[in-house]
Amino acid sequence: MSKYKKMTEEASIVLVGSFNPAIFHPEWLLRHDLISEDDIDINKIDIVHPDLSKFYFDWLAIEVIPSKFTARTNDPSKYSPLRDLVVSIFNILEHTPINQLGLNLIMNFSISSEDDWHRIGDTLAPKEIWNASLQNILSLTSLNHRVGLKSLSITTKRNDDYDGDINISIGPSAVEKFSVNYSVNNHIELKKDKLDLSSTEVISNLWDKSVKMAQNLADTTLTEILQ
Amino acid sequence: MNTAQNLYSPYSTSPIPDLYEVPERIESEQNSDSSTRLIVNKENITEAIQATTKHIPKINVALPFSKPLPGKFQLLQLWEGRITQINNEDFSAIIVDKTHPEFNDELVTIDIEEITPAELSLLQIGAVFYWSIGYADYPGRGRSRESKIRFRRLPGWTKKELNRAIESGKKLAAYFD
Amino acid sequence: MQLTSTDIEYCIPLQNEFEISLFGPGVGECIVAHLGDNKWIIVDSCCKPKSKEPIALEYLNQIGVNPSESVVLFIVTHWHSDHIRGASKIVKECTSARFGYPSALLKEEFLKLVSAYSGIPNNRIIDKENSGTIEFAKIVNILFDRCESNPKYKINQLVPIQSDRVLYSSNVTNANVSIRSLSPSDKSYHNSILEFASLLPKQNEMIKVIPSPTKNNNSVVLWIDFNITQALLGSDLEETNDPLTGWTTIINSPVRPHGKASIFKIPHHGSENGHSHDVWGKMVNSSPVSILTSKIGGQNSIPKIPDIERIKKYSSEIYCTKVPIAAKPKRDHTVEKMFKVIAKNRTIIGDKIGHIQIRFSDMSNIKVNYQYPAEKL
Repeated sequence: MSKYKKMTEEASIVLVGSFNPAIFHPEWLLRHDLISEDDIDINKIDIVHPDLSKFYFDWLAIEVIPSKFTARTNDPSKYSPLRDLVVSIFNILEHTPINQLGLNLIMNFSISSEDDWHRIGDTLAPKEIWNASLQNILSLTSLNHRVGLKSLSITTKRNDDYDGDINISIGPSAVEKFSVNYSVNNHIELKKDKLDLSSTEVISNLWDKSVKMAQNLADTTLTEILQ
Repeated sequence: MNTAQNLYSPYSTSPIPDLYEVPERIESEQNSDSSTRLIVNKENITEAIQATTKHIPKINVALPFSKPLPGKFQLLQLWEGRITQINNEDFSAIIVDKTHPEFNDELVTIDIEEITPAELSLLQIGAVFYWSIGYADYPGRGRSRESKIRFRRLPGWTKKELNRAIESGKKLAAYFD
Repeated sequence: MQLTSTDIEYCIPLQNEFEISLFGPGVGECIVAHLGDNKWIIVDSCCKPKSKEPIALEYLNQIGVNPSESVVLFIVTHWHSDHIRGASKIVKECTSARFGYPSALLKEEFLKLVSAYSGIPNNRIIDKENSGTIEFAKIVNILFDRCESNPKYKINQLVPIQSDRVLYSSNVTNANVSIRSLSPSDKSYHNSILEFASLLPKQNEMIKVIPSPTKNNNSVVLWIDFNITQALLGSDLEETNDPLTGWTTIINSPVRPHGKASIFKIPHHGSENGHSHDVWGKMVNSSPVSILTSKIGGQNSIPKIPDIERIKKYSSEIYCTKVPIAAKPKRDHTVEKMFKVIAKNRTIIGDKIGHIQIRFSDMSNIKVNYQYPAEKL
């Protein structure tokens, strides 16, 4: 039996550039046939303002500030609709300057036992050095003061034709007592590579691969530690 | 700039006051925000404050931080389908298994009733849809087993796309002629 | 004529032994033929369901033939996805082969359609149904690169096909082998140009999978003389009742070959609209070996039982690569339960690939081997 189990997963597409948040309104999406009337029936608009737009559907959240656009879903059956929506929006708004994009997946795993949960933290961040330092500085005399990993970030350069990096973050999750949060940020710098593709072309090309890569990364890391 | 998703931090016992601990960093961070670090850190916070205090100070409760989305859908199975035939009461489609790519395609007949009325206009031969089966857990609704069909929505063919195809076709034809 | 049925022979045929191998996974068709002296031709392409590799290359490699040296001609009879899957890999790998195609396929109208639907450069819908255009786009890219690096490639290696062309001719150990195209006719060529133009989407039109063409008028039918044994490879050509297209125009052609074929690859998966009584009477001998692939797709699957009965009447032996019932995939119990509630009918498409292998040196010793799910009907 597996020693970990995925509890939640959330995918997001983040674009960095120059946006006009006021455009982003559910009615605008509906007018362009990018969402269904069913979506809008249950939408919840927090705010649509020249500097900030935030609204939610059952399956989707869109948040836009002048420098950043974020669309995310926690429904894995909607990953393709999420990609289609973002690609369609920026095909329509084709002159929007976009410099960077992130294809992200955040997963929460429940770990089968407390020992295994500690093993993840202890493997990724051995505690000897911290115990020693903290004992010196805080004059701790016993190890009752447990030292724990809160968050660890790893970055690596891409090995494909795009410019950017893959960033992984792992740490304890608040979802459940012995659970782990594993986030993957597939970051791409646009216009710096030889491909000279638009953001929508890059999203179309990479989205499915990116989700799979993130899921494989998490599986490989956890299996490696817990096997 | 960070392209990771700005997460609501589950570790902070008091996330909102946390935002105001770092106002002095706004100036120094504003123009050097080129990191692509993933973790929720003060860069995100400066950005939040920039957005909330500099431009729209009156709505500082609407921070551009991602709240966890309500509920969850535990996906058991996903197919991508394409409509091959439409009859009075049902339609036929070839479905491709996205959950188990090693499985063969299947030709299925499905009642038109399964399609939400809002999407009936998209029911056309050649249209693409996603069909998912899973458990839905949403606040106030409890757990339910759900089968959902959602059509793929893309803006229609643009003049630019068509012109590009036409030009490319012409050039290639001249080349091979 | 002596007919025997055994397992597939996985060895290179003798120098003067000919072969026609027909492959079909349920949706898809590919023919590999030995023309003598280790010279091979591939007609159409389909892929092995698991490996997704073109079955033609896999088979040739398996029996010890090097496709890059020994395949002399690769023909795509038409662009439909069930005949073209994996074809770009064949073009890429078979570097000595000439590439034959219905001449309309490198004309402006089709290349515009290919550009719109293929991802040159930005595809918005990718799925298997339009893989015919995507696959052809890959072929176009390979051909373009080869023409760029070798100015003679276009003239020497590209073979645009219309009816009544000699595509191959050789004499090996006193055996004459030749391949002729019997279609597409001039009118079919013009019809397909018009069809391609009409398939190009209009501005603001909803983006869909490319509409499935309803006619197969532009398919390339081949006649192969294996010395004194003839084979008729019917592709997907249909009978149109128009004297200038389909089978009628072949029958009426004053220059068509006047021999009678002993081996007949039945056109269009045995469907009724591919049937022509005149073809059986005038171009095929009285007891041919008939071979066909199927197209599995629920109620529209072909061949249907009456089709098989009809073909049996004309043939001494009939073999089909079809997969009538494929194994049901094992999914999560809850998924299967929901699936049954929602889907009223289901047919599993494609599974294992059926293989019919015919080896002969002359008409008197035609040997038919086949491998499950191919069967003798």
